[in-house]
Order: sequence, then structure tokens, then C-alpha cells
Amino acid sequence: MMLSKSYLAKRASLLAVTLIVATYLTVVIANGGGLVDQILVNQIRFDVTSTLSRDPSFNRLPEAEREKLLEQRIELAIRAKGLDQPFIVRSFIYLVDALTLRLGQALVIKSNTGSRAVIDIIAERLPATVALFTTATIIYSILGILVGLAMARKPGGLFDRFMTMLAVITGVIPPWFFAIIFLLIFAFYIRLFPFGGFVSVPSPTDPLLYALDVMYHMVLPLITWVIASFPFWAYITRNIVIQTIGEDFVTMAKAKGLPQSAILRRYVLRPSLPPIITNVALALIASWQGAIITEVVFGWPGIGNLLNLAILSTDAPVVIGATVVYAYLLVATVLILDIIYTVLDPRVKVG
Amino acid sequence: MSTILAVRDLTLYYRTRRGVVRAVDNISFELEEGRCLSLVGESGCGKSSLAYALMRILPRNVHTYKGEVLFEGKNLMALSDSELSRDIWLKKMAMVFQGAMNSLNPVLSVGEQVSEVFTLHAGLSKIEAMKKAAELLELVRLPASLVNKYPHELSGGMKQRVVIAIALSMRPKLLILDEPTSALDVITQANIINLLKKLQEEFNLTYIFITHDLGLASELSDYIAVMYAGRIVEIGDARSVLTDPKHPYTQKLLAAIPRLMEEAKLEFIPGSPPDLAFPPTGCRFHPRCPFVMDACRVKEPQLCKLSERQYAACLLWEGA
Amino acid sequence: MSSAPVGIKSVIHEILHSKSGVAGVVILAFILLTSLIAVFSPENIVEKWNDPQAWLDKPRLAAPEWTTFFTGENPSRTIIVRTQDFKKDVQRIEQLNVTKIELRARVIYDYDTPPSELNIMINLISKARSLLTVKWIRPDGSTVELLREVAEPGIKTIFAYIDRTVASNVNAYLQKLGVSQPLPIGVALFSSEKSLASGVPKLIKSHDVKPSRPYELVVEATSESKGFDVEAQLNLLGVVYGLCGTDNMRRDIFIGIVWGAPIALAFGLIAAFVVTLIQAIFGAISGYYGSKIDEIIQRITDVYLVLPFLSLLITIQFIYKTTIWTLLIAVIALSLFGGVTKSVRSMALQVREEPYIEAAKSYGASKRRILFLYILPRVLPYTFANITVSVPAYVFLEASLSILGLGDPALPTWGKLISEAFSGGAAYYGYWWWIIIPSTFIVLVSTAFALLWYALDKVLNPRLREE
Repeated sequence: MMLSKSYLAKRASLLAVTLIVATYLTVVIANGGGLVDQILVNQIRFDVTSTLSRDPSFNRLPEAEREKLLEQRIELAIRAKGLDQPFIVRSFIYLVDALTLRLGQALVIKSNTGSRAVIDIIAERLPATVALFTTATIIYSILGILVGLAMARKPGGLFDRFMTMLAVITGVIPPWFFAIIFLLIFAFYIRLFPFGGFVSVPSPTDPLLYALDVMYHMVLPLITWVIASFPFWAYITRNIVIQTIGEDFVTMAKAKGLPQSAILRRYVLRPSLPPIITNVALALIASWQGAIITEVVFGWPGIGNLLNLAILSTDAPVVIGATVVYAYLLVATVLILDIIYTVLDPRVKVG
Repeated sequence: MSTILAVRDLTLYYRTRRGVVRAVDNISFELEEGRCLSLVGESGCGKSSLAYALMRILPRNVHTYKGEVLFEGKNLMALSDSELSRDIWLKKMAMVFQGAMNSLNPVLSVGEQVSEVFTLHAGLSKIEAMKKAAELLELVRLPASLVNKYPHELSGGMKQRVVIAIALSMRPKLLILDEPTSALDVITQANIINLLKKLQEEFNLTYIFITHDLGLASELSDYIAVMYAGRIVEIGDARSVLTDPKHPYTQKLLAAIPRLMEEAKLEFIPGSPPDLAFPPTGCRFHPRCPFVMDACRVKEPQLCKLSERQYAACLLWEGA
Repeated sequence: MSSAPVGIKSVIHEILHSKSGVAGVVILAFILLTSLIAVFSPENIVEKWNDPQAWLDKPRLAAPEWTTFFTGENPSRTIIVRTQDFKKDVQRIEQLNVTKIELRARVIYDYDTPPSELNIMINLISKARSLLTVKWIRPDGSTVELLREVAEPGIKTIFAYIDRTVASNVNAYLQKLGVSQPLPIGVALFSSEKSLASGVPKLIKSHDVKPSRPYELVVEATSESKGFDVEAQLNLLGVVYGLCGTDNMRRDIFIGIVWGAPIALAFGLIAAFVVTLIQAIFGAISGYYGSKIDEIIQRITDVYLVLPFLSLLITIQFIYKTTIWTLLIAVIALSLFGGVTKSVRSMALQVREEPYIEAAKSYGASKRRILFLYILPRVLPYTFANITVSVPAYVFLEASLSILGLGDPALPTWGKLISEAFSGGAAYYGYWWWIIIPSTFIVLVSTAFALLWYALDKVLNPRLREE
């Protein structure tokens, strides 16, 4: 199965452009207050200081001398980096840094290992976000497609109309909204689930119990996310499937005497998948963004929560770094979707 | 030659928002094995619906479906849906759909679609099925290498041939072809018709050929049935119908064909085809008929035998 | 897109004739009405909302009053006794050259629970210090001295339940009764002396005594100063208040809701209309002009679609901390191209082939004229569905930013209410009304637009609805 190089190449290059634009925008916006300048200067300061302080000959110098030498070196480094250049030039330097994920030092926040490097802090939180997001997406996408198929079986029927209404109403309501209400119901009133967080305090030491504890904490966020998201998928699936069923090739498949299950799988579901994917690509992007607040509501220790923390502590480097990382996540998601699309739709495979 | 298909009072009405559409209204005819019957008529006269009615491929909104369809003496109406699907469709009767553009599944390769029936019905392995698929493609004069291609890579004519190949895959006896060439250019059309002729000879196939093109009908058919507003108004041996049409509608149709060599004025049929939800009373053609009589508005004419090989449903001939 | 042109009239007709459309319009009309009330009210709600002093006479975190219907209890409501309702008795003692003013407030109290707060505001209008005594008399005749001190002139606010002096005085009183354990001030002040002494405090209501007697607050101030006057106000704050309860800053949530309505509608509607219109124009240009312009616009749209929209807004708000209207501009700027561009483009591609467009070209209409007078009007009705769905989306967007603390700092938007509820621990402590009531309104708006959308979709996509 040869993946069309030209289609994927085009998409990949477009996504690369998007990434660059998004990062550049972030950098330019963020530097409105000269913040990015500060971040990089601080980074240089940090780097130079830590390099020099490891040099024994440096440490033997008197205080005043050390200060002078430090400042000299920092000046040189700043000029070498080009940070004394006009804004346009600087902005491109920042762009390259951001794209290569050299995101500077945080002001306040530290990673669990004590590092102040923004990239370390973010890397620590990334798995939690990706785990929750991916699990939720897989669950609600499958559920959505199944429900959509059920809806398409009897268009205009009671189930169909009910689910359509549900889809439209929940479609604009972000998951975090459900999260707050569900917390009220399930954590406060019916004390079934914990209020949030990743693990209980104190966390179990046994690895199996630890894993179960994490899963226990994941249940409410997952349920919330799934309930908030699957109706939309179901609706999109339903529409596309109804259109597909009306196609001539489905009637022809019936006339071939093929069994129902084969028709459903090969002639209804499979041709429907490519347009479904196109349509839900946008929803997935919105999902990532909604994830930010969902994490905050549940206290889930992912990047969204980190972003909130950074906002509260006015830790600008982390805010900027997180935005850049989100741009990467979005682009990666869309790229994965595009690859899936090429696998599913032969019309883009060849030529 | 035995009668392979006998249809009696076949009726199919649809339920729509506007009302009950009487697409197929008490159609009866018989067809001998190895022959070709063309079903001719304007768009919307119910030709395709008749095809679906014969095969019993019914949509959700059926209002009435009754009659008898006897295939090789067996009444298909007595069979359940699953029996029909398992034993009849594709194996005894096969349909070639209108508009090959959409008859093929865009996400499956040609080979997969042709070989499907073998893997799912005949229980063959994938490799054997693919071999059979390649054979079938060659049967319709297509290169076997097409098995790996996808429908969007094929031209219209090639797609139509693939559809024909699929229809023939289980060696059915009767083929119903619903406007198999209307979406194709004239040259490709001619090629397809030739292919159909050859296949008919090779396999002693029986065809029901649905078209709005009288010229095509004349090329291929042994018999012609003219449909109007859900009913057959004239049916008979092709030559007789074409050279000596008895029903005013058939006469008008033939007269409307421009002839290269003649100087006659171009004729047309005034008015427009009737709405099948609210067909005219009496003879359905009476609003447009040049020979309309008072009785025509009231009494619906039945097919009456005008000669050994020709029947027409017109009050002009009743009593003759 | 179905082949027949759809006009605005038929759209409106369809909405008004379908059940869901009517329902949606009704809900929206209700919210619009609420907005109008807010807009035309004389008060400057924004100022008031952010001024804690303006709400001192309301209880904190009080549930809505109608909840008593379900619980069957009769919990305390708010009773405010203002200066003019105090019985004033002025005595001038010439020998000592002092004036003694006694203010007495009588309150008939028949609720099942003590008030959530007992606050006393005293204004000593004097040029010198005065001797101030505050006494509390129960219906059973027992008295508790809350305060006795020398006070400076000016306004003095006593939050009796948390004031340390009052607390020590009340505890001294309790100890005299033989009560060893400290009790909450509210319980102490509102239980009969007998029950307190017996160790099982029981609330005493005015009607528990025959004939019924009120609770009394006696404020006595003595001062040498000429022109000495005293004003007082007694706030017995209830446990329930109002239609929607109060939040942790004592603000009447009902006012927050009423004021949130026009903001929500304005933000949502403006954003939805402007963004959809701009995207539609670009889509139409892209589809109609074709070739290079089409390519460029499509590529730009592809880039816009994958931008981290919310993250960028967060960054903008974090750094520049703008008001809601600047936020609106940022939102529009980040949404110039989008999904609507793509769908309008494909519609334009179809419409462009229609004969009347050819006809227009043939009699010399310029491309721009055709675009704006023929193509756009034909295409725009199909974007209505998108608009109706976008409005609540933007309302929620504003709410999302508010939850992160990045919304408009001053305006009481619904999103702000919910976010303050959440960070105020409403979910953790069960202050459900604080969450549920603003949420209900946001969901109501969403539902209204969803209903409208459903009605519209029937006109615009008939094929998908048919059996």
C-alpha cells in the first residue's frame, strides 16, 4: 500500500508552515512586553553563569573580578546570539529557538527534578495530558461512530432526533463545563469519585495499586470528556453514513447478494470514514484546547494545568512555552489524521 | 425456447411526501431465454422502478408491492429476503446499474469488488478469488492488471465493463441492464453494446435492457416494450414495433427521431410526462394523444393482442 | 446545498413554523428581555459589582429563597433595621454635661435558624469620644452585653459573629451561666437563657413567648460633644436570599445573571456574525475568482485552521490583560479564515456555474458586483446555521478565559460567575446554586440556538432529514 508521497508531502509542508506561523505569532505577541527578550537574556545569564561557575580558575578570582568577567561574557553571548539587533531580526532568532524547543528558564515554577528549564517542566507534564487526551479520544470516537451508525439506521426516528438534539446542544458546550457539574454531582453529592488530581494523597507504593489509583482518578475526567464529545461525532457519522447509504454502490452491493455484515463494513462504514475524519479534524483541534480547562477543573497534572499555574504565578516563560508546545501538539494531531486519511481513502493514494 | 421470466400484474407504489407514486402499475409480460427485451420510455416513466421491482430491491418507503415474478417457473415472491439474496441475486438474475460512476465502491480496489462474491459466497480463498476476478475482467475485454486499480483510476467505459463483469461473475441467466450506457460517449457506448452482444452469444444470456434511447434499443433487442407512466403501452417484436408502431405514443416517439436523409419537420410530443403521484384518469397518455376520444378519459385500456407478435394498449385497437 | 435558492424570508418562515424554531425564539426573547432590563437600569452595575461595600447588607453564600419550598424549613431571612426604624431616646444630663442617646431596634424573629450573620453599623457623629454600650435582649427577657467601650467618632462596623471583643463578652456571659464550652455566637444570642444554662441550646422565637416579644438591640452612646448624634443599623443576614442566592462576596447572583445576559448575547452575536461574514466573503472570493487567489486563500485557511486558537488568546490575555471588547477584536483577528471559508468556497464554485451568473457577466457586470450582489446573497443563508451554532460557542469561549482568570476583569459575565464559583470551591462545598444557576443560563442560550439551528437545518439540508 503505497502512500501517496505528493499528498502527504504537501500536507506536511503546509503543517510545517502552520507551526512556524503559530510559533512566530506567539513570539511576537509575547514580546509585546519585551518578555521574550527577558526570557532569552535570562537563559543566557543562566548558561554563562553555570558554565563559568564550573571553571575552577574562575572561582579563584576575587568577587569584583568575577562580576566583571561574568558581565563581559554575558554581553558577548548576547551579541553573539544577536539579541542586540532590531526587533525583526530578534523575532526570527526567537522563532528558531522556540521551534527547536529552546524555551528558556521559568521564573517561578520548577520541575520535580528541580530544573527550571521550561522544556523540562513541560516534558514532565506532557505524558499526563497525552494519556488522558488519547484515551478519551479513542473511546469517544468509537462510541460516536457506533451511535452514529445506529442513528443512521432509522433516520427521523425517535433515537435519531433525540441524539441529534443532544449533539447540537452538547456540541458547543465544552467538556470542562460538564466537568464542573459532574464534580458537583459525583464528587460532592454522590461521593463516588475523587475531586481530581492524579493520585490519592498519600499515593500507594505498590506499582499495581498505583496504576489502579491513577485509573480511578482518570474515570471521572474520562466520563466527562466522553459524554461531552461523542454526540457530535455521532451526528457527523450519522449524516455521512446516510449519504453513503444512498449511494448507488451500496444498492449494487445489496444486489450482489452480499451478507448484511459485509455490506455494512465494506460499503457503508469504510467509504464513510474518510469524510468523517475530515469533519472531525476540526473538532479534535478544539478538543485539545478545551483540554486545557478540563485539566484545570480536575486538577489533572498535565500541560493545561501547568498553563493555569503559570498564569496564576505570572510565569511568562512557561505560558509562552506551553503555547508553543500546544502548537506542536495540534500539528502532530493533524498530521496523524492526514496519515490515517491517506490509508483510508485510495483516491489520494495514487496521484 | 423456454420462458425464463413471466411477470404478472407487477405493481410497485412508493410512499412520498407528495402522495403515493404509482411507479409500476400492473405490468405483465413474458420473456424467452436467450432473448433481449428492451424497455423504452421517457425519464420518470418508471423503467428503473420496474427493474428494482423485478429484482425486489426495494427502498424504505414502499406503499404497495405485489404481483408475480416467475423465474424459470418459480415464483420469486414466495421467497424470503434472505433466500432471494442468497440464491437469486447475482446467481440467477443480476442487475447492471445506471450510472457506473457511482456503482463501484471508491475505497475498494477493482479486484476486491469483483472477487468479493467468491470469497463471501463461494468460500474461495483470496488468491483463487482474485484469479477468477482476473478471468472475469478478461471476459469483458479488460486487462487483468486492473485488479489492483481503484475505481477513480478507470474511465467511464472501463467502469461499466467492470460492473458488467461483476454482474456476470456467478453466471446468471438473466441480466437486467438499467441504462448501462447513458453516461458514456457514443463511441464507448458502441463498444459496450458490442460487448453485450458477444456475451449474450457466448453465454446464452437473457437481457432486459432499459433505455430511453430507441436507437440503442433497436440495436440490441429482440423485443421492445414501451413504457408510459408506469404501464406498458406497447410491446412486441422489435421490428414490428419499430416499423409499424400501433400505440400513438410509440408513433410519436419514433416520429421525434430526426432522420438524416429526410426532409420531414421535426416532431415533438406536446405536454410533459405525467406526475406518477397523480396520473391522469383513464388512459394515462390521453392529455397528449392526438387521437384522444371521450372514452379515453374514462377507461383505462388494457394490452390487446394485435398480431402474433405485437400488443398495444389503446382504445383505438380495442375490439379489433 | 440544495439547488433552489433560499431567501431570508423563507428561512424566517421556516423558523417560525417549526416547533423547535419557535421554542428557540421564545427562549431568546426571554433572554433578550433580561438584557434590556439590564441595559436600561439606572444603576452602574459594573461599578457596584466590583465594590464589596455595596453588598454589605446581603448574606454571604446564601441559597436562593425558593429552596425553602423543597426543604419545608423556615430558615432565617435577611432583616435590616435602618436608623430611622430605631426608637431613639435622647437624654441630656446637664450636671455632667453629657448627652446620652439610646437607640433601640425591635425585631420580631420567628425563623427556625439563627441568622447567618449579625452585623451592627454604628455612626457616632461627635467631635469627641463616646462611651458605647451595645446590648442584646431576647424575647425571654434575658440580656447579653455585647460591647462596652470607649469609641472614637465615626462609623464602626461590628461583625458580631467574628468580632473578638464581642466573642469574649459573650463567652464571659456564658461562663456566668455555667456553660463551660464555647458556643457559636449565633447560637448563644438566639437561644433562650434557660436552654443555654441547661446545656442544650434551643432557639427561641418571638412567638414562643405569650404575648410575643421581639428581640431587641439597644445601642447606648454617651458623649460630651455638642451636636452629638448616633445612627445605627442592624443587619440580621439570612441563610437564604433572593431569586438566585448570593456568592462569596455577598453579591446577589440574580443581578450578576441579569447583567451577564447582554454581555453574553452581545459578545456571542457580534463575534458569530462578524467572523462568519468575513470568512464567507473570503470563501466566496476564493471560489468565484479561482486560480491563484483561490490557492492563496485556501492555504491561508489551512494554516488558520490548525492555529492553537485558545492558547494564543490565553497568551494575549495573559500579557496584555485586555477588556472584553479588545478580546473580541483578538478573537476576530484569529478567526478571519476558517471552516466557513471552505464551505462557502465550495458553494461558490457551484453557484458560479449557474446560468444567471453567466447572464450577468454577459451584460457587463463587474466581477466584484457579481460577487457581492449575486453570489454572496445566494450563499449567505446557508451560513445562518453556522452562525446560530457559533454564538454559544463564543459565549463559552469567554467563559473559558474567565475560568483561567483571563476574562474581562470588571464585567460580571456568566463565565466569570461560573469561574468564580469554581475557584470559590462551590463544587467542593456544595454551593450548588452558584454553579447551577449561571450554568443553566448559559445552557439555555446554547439550547435556544441549538433549537434555532435544528429548524434552520431542515430548510437548508432537506435531504438529510427525509425518511
